[in-house]
Amino acid sequence: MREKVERILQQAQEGIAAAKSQQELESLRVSLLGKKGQLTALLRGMGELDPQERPLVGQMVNEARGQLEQLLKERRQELEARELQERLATERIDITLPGLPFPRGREHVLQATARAIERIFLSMGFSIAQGPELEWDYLNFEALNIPADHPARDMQDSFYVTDEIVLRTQTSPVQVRTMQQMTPNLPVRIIAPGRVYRRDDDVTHSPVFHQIEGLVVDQDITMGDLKGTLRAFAYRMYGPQTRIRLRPSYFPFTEPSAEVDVSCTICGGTGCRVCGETGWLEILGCGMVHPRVLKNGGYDPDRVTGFAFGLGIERVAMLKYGIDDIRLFYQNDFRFLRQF
Amino acid sequence: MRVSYEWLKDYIDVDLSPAELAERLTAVGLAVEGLEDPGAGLAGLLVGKILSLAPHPDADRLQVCQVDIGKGMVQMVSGAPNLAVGQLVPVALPGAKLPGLESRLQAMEFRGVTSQGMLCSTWELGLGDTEADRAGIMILEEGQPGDKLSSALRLDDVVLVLELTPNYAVHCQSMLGVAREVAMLTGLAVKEPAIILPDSAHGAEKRVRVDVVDTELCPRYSTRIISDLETRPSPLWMQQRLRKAGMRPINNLVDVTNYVMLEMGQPLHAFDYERVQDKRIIVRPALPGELLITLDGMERELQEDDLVIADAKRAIGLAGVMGGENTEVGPATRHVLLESACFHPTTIGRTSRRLGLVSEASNRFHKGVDVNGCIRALDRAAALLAQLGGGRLTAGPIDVYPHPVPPKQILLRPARVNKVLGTELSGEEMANCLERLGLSVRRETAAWQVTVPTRRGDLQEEVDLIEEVARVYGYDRIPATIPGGMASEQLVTEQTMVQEQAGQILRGCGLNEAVTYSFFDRRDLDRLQLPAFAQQRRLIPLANPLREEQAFMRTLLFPKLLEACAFNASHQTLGGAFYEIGPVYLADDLPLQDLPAEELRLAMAAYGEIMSGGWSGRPVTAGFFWLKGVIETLAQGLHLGELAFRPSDQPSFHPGRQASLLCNGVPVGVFGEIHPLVAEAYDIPGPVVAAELDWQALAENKRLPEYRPLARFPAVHRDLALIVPDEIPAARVAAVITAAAGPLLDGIVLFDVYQGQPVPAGSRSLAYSLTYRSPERTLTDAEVDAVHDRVRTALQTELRANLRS
Repeated sequence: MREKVERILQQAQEGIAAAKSQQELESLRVSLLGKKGQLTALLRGMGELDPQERPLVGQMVNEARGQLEQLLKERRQELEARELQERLATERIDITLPGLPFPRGREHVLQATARAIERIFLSMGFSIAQGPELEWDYLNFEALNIPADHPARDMQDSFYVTDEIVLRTQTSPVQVRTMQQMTPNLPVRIIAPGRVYRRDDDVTHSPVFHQIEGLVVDQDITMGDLKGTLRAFAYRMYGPQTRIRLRPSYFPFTEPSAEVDVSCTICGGTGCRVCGETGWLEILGCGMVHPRVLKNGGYDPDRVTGFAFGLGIERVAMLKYGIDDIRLFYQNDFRFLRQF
Repeated sequence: MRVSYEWLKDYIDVDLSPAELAERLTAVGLAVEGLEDPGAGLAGLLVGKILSLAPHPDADRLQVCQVDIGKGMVQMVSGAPNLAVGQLVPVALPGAKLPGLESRLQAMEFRGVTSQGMLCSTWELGLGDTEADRAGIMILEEGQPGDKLSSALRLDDVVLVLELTPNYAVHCQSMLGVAREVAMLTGLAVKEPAIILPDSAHGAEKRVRVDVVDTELCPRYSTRIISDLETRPSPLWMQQRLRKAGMRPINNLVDVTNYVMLEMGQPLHAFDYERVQDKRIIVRPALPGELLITLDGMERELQEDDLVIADAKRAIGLAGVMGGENTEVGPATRHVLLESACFHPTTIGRTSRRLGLVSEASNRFHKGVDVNGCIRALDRAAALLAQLGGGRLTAGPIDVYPHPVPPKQILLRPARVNKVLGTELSGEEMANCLERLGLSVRRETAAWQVTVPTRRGDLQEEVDLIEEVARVYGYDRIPATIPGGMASEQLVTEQTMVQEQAGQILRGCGLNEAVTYSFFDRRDLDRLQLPAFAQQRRLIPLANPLREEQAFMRTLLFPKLLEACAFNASHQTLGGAFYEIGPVYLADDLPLQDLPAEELRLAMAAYGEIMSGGWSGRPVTAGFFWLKGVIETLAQGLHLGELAFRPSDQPSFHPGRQASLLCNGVPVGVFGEIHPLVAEAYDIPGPVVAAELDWQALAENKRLPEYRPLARFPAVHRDLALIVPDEIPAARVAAVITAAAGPLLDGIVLFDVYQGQPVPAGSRSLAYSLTYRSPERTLTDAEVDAVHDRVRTALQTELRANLRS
C-alpha cells in the first residue's frame, strides 16, 4: 500500500512539474484528487483493508493528498504568473503614439491678463464697477477736469456719436459715475475694467482697447496709500523682486499725478531692448483725485481724499509676452491664440 | 524739447554727468526719453590742414594733397573742386568708419598715387544732403590739425531728449526753464544770459505804429527795430546748437529768433522792416477768406477766428504760428522789425491744428508763454542781432501791454500738504521746496500766501502747489502705506464671476475666447440677409469713423465671430470654435438723444473641424448638435434650469437647422447652422454654426444645484426601439414615454437614431434605454413589465409607432 501511495505521489510530482498549462494541471488534479482520482480510489479501497491498517493508510493517503494539493497550488501560481507575464508581453503598446486629443479652448490673452489684474485688486478689497462705452461727453471729459479746449478733446482723438455722446476714451468716467452713485457713503474702492476707444490705428494703437481704472476715496487717503497699493499690485503681478518708481506726470483728473514704472520684467533692471536700456517699464498712470473731480462726484474735497490709477491691458500683455503688434489681439488668429 | 548738455552749462554749473542728470530730471517729471550723441558718426575722424596741392600726374580731375594731421603728414587724392591750401578739412584715415559706408575705409591707389584716407564732404559725414553738401569737401571754421572732428564741429556733446507733459511744457520748453529745474534739483544758481544793448535810441514810435485790436487775443505785443544789418550765416556755435535742438539754421536773422526762443521759451519773429507797408503793425482777427502765403510757400485761406499780424494793407503773418512770405527776411534785408508777443493759447492751438501747421512757436504759444517775459526775450534777441548782424540798435521797445499781469497769489494750507501726500513734512521743509522753485512764501497766516511768477502759468491753485512740494521733496521719499478700513460693499461682482465660470465651461468644450472690435460695417447687414425691417439694422453711426468698415456700432455679436472664423479659414486653418461675451449697442431712437442700451451677449461660432480625432478617434466637426451640446453643457454647468428648443426663423440661419433657446420658459436667443448664403458672404467654408444669446437673461437663471439623496434601491434597465415617421420629433417620443411610465421612470437615454434599410423611407428608428427605479423598494420584474408595457402601448396608440423590441 505504501508503495502504491508513494508511486502515485512520485508520478504526480513529475506530472505537476511538467504541466505546461492550467488546464493540464486541472486534469492532473482531477485524475489524482477528483471523484475518480487515484488517491480517492485508494481511500475508497480502504474498506478492503485490515481495520488496524486503515488509520495508518488513511493518514498516509491524507498526507499525500495534502502534499499534492500544496504542489498543485504552487504550480498553479507559477503557471498563472507565467501566463500573465506572457499575456502582458503580447499587450505591449507603442508608447510614442500621441495621446488622444481633448478639447481645450484658450482664454484670450487680453482677457487672461485683465482677469489676473482684477483678481489681485479683488483680493485687496476692491469691487468691480462698470459704466457705458457710449458715454456723455461731459462725464468723459468735463467732469474729469478736462476743459473744452484741452488737446485730448480733439475730434482727431475721439470717436463721436453726437455732439454730446462720445465713445469713451478712457475708463475714468466710471470714477465719476461711481462716486455719484455712492456718495455720501465711504469708502469707495473700485476697479472698472472695460473697452475704450481712440481714433488711432497702427502697430501700437488700436481703435478699440482695454483699460482698468482704479479708484479709492475715503477719509485720510494719501499718496502714500497710492504708492503702497500699487507696490502690492506690482509684487503680485510681476513677482516679489519687482521694484516700482513713481515719476511726476500730468493728468487733468489727478494731482499730484504720476507715471508708474516697474523694474523691467525681462532684464530685472539692468537694461535691455524691451525697456530701451532704461531698466524700467512704464505700466500705468495714477495720482491723487483732483479736488474738482471729487466735487463732481459729490464729495467734499476738504473732507475726503482719494487716489485713482489706470492701466492699459494691451500694453501690460505686450510687455509681458513681448508682443509687438497690437492688432494680433483683435484678429483672433488661432495660431496666435493657441500660444497662450 | 531737446536739451544740449553743453548749452545747458551756459546757464548752470551742473557737474552731474548727462546720464545722472537724465535720471534726476526724469525723477522730477521731465521724462528723458533718450540721450543722443550728435557726433556719433564722427568717431575716429580728424581735422586736417591742407599744406600743398598738386595735380594728379595721370588724371585731370584729381588732385594730390599733403595734409597735416597733427601727428604727421599724409597724402590724399581728391576730386573735390573746392580745395585750397591752408584749408581745414575733415580727414578719414584708413580704418575709419564713415556714417554712410558699410565697411571701414582702406588706403587706395588712384592711377598709381596712393591716398592714405579721404577728405570728406558734409554729405559723406551724414551731416547734410543738399547739393552743396555733396559738391565739395566740408571746409571747417574751427580747430587745429589733429583735433577730433566732432570737437571742431562742436558736436562733442550729449542731447537729452525730453518728453514733456503739457503742464511742464509751459515752463520747461526752454533752456532756461530746464536750467531752473536743474537748479531746483542741485541747489545751484541759474546764470541768466547777460544782455548788453548797444546805443539804444528812442523815437521808435516814429518808425512804426502798433495797434492791437483785441487785447484778449493778444495781451502783449512788443517790438524793436534793428537797423543796418547784414544777412549772413550764423556762427558755428549757434548753428550747431540749433541743429542739436532739432532746428535748421537759415541765416543770422532767423537763427537769432529761434535761438532766443529755445533759450527763453518766448517765440519771436523777424519781419523785413522795409517791406512792412506804411510802417504799421495791426494785430487783428483775420477777415473771412483772407489769403496769406506763409513762409513755407503755402497759400492759406484764413477764417475770422484766426489771428493775424497785418500792416496797413494786408496780413503779413499768422500770429504765433508762422510769418508771411511778403515780409520774409532774406539776403537783401537791411532792417528788421522784431516781434515778441503773447497770444491767446487756444486761438493759436486751433489755427495751427486746423491748418495742420504746427511750429515750434505755435507749440509754445498753445501751451502758454510768460507774458512778463516778452521784453527780456526781445532785448536778448536785439542784442544778439546787433552782435551777429553788425546792426545798430535803433528803436524801441514799443510795448503794447495795456493790462499788466501781476504774479499770482495762491493760498496753501500746510496741513493739507501732509494730508494729501501722507508725509510729515515740517513747515520749514515745505517752504523750502517751494522756494527752490523760485516761488516766495509768506507764512504769517495759517494758510500761507504763495507768490507764483507768471512764467509758471501751470500753477493755478493749491493742489498744484502740493504737487510741486511732492515733486521737489521727491516722490520716492513718500512712504508707501496700505489704505485701512473696510472694503466697499455696495457693488457686486457676482456677474463677473458667472462670466468667468461660463468661460471655463465653454473652453472645456473646445471654444476659444475671442476679442473683437465693437464696430459694424453697414454691409454686414446685407451679408447677414437681414430684412429691411429688422431691428438690428438700426445701427448707431459714428460721426467721425476711421473707415467705412468701422463706421457703426454693432447690434449683433456673432457676426464678429464669423469674421474671426473667416480670418482663420483664409489662413489655412481647417476649423475651430469661438465664444465671446461682449456688448452690443442698441438704439431706441436715432439720432441718439440718450445713451443707448448696451446689452451683453454670449456669442459662439464654429466652422470645419473643431477638434482633430488624432490617430485613432473621430474628429469633432461644427454642426447643429455639437453646438446644442455645448449649450446644454453650459446650462448644466451653471445650473441654469430647464432648457427648451423651439423652431425659429432667423434669416441669417439655415431655415431647417436653427432653434430658439428658452431657459425656464424665457426666450434667450437663437442658435443653429448659419445660412449657406451668409457663410458664403463671409467667405467661410460651411457648415458654420453660431449662437447669439442674451447673456444677462441667461445668467440670471443661475441657481444653487438642488441636492437629492442618492438612490438606495437597484435600478432595472429596459431597452426600447421603435420606428416612427420623420415628422414626429424625438422630444415628442420622449414626452410620451415619460408620461406613460409615470414616477418609476428614473432615466431615459436615446442611444441610437437610424434611417435607411430596413427602415421604410420617411421613417426612422429610435432606440431608448429606460431606467426604472423606486425610491422605496426593489422593483420586481412583474412591476417593471407592467409599466414598460404601458409605455409600449402608449407609443403604439399615440404615435402609431412600430415597436421593434
